Amino acid sequence: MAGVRSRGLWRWAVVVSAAVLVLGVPVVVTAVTEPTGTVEATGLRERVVRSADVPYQGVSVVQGALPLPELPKLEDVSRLLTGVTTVRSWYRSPDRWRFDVVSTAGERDTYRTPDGEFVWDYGADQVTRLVGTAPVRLPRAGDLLPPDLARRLLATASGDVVTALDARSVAGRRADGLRLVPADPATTIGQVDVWADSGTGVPLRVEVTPRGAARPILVTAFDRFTPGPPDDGVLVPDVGRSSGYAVVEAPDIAGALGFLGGDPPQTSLAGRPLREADGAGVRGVGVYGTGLSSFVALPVPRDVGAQAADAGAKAGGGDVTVPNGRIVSLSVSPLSVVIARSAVARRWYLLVGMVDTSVLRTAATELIALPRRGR
Amino acid sequence: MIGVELRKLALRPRVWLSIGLLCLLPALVAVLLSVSDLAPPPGQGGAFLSAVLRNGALYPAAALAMVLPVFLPLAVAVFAGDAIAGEAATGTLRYLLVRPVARPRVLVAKLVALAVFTVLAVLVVAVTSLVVGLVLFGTGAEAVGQASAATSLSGIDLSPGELAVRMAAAIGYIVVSMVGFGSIALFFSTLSDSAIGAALAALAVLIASSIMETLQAAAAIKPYLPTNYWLSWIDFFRDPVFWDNIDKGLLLQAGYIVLFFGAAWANFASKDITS
Repeated sequence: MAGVRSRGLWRWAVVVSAAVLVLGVPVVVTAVTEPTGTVEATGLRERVVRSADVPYQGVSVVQGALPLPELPKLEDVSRLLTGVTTVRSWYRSPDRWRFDVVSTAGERDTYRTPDGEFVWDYGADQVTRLVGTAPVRLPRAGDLLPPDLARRLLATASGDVVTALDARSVAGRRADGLRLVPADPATTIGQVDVWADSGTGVPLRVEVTPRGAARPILVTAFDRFTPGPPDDGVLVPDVGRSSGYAVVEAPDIAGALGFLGGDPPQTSLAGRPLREADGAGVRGVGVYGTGLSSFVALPVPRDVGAQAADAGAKAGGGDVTVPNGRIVSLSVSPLSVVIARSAVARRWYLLVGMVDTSVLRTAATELIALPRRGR
Repeated sequence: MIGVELRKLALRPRVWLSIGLLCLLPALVAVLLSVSDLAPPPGQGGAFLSAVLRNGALYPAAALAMVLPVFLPLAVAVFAGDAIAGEAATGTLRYLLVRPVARPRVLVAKLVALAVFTVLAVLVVAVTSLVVGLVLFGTGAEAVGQASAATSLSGIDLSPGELAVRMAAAIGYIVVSMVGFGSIALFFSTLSDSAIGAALAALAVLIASSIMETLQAAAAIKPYLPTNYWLSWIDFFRDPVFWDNIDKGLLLQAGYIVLFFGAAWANFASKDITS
């Protein structure tokens, strides 16, 4: 009996050893090959901002944890910012790229070619060609790829100081790190951490943490990254003959807002100077402030404003009636949104930014006090 | 020994009954889809379901997506759970081992039988679904008036040959995934004299793994959960083929097969056989 037990023990020892080997080897290899050290942060920021011409291909995972409610007609956006999204990307240059959002239910591929933008939607069995350039559009997965997000954030906050972070391994490559902490206390962004490929400067991982939060609210990182140009074949939409094909014009948002009168934006709001008078090329849209604490203020049609205000109030936003109208404010950290109605000018305004809602409320109060202009 | 196990497999009515039941669900769904002509909305429902109304040649893929999460692993758990515990419960294990046959050989034969059962089940589901799909939905040629091709998830046309190759690769991947899961059930089968108990234990692993996959708090262990990459066979139908998760899934299942078959061997080889 004792002999049987001892024979059994050595077999279990073999199995346990195999388990330790299978589980332990990757851990040991990761620990041994984990890079260390830092590089000069300002230089790294320059490399990241200049990396738009570096071709690559890879697979990224975008993990959003914004406390967004399910938004009607905006499910794709809320899913992107609240869940985990896997994105394959092929990038040759700023006007030649492709990214696929893949799921077990299908995929949605976006191609950028010199002939325009194409979107393949497996569920709809259709490819759509976008003619023209939309000045404003909803966020999409491609905007949250590490290179795009990092470059946009670092370019926006070019005046803020960056510090070095320890290098780490991302997608099996050495990535040097930097941390951006916005100086303006009014911004809701606490810090932005970026790790960029040592060899190419292409950002491989980005973490965005709201002010006062212990954990990032958005993490986007490459799971696989290969520098170098992708094959031409993958950058051209090759859709089967049985699938649908549609052509759409870029929405004329400028025209839609133009009928509102297109008043020039105020020269300053909430003590922040006007930085851009026709934001995204749309007349009447003002961009105020600098860096990550800048915000956008724009007039919106009455039906859009009323619907947005009701939706904001239902989602738990503050809804107050003030002497000159109504102000609905909503904070979905790190994003703040204010919808305001002017009883004086009978206008609706939308204010959005990664700033404290008190800043947007002050700006809205100033806007709704403006007198109605003659047409 | 392997021949004996395969003969038993072929002659057991319950094996064919379970495979038949596996085919029933896709057939029922196909009839409902065909009658109602209502595909799930874009981006929702099972993989390929929205596409089968346009081309029935894709129905095997849709059928596999239907049976993979629950019904196929259920059949595998019952089969693998019965492998040793069933023999012990019916009192045939003692006779099996006094032939004489080395215990590892018995286990290997059981594992091979499990793999053959899985191949058989997946193939029968795929073939019956293909027939049902073509009969009920056609190939899409009726609509465009010419030989039609199935559309990949990335939009490119797949010729019948390409579709067959990708389907064969997907079937191979599913079989490996199921053998990995079956190894867990086989290990439980060596622990107990109750086939149902072993199958239920394996199903408990399946349910726990599926629940943890949805938890963000379990993100750190997600890549090691047995069910994590099961649906990655769908990636064979993308263009270019999305190998990343396929590779990880195959590696993970190989790990499960090695570890749980090893554990089954360690336990069974030194176990006192009393029944």
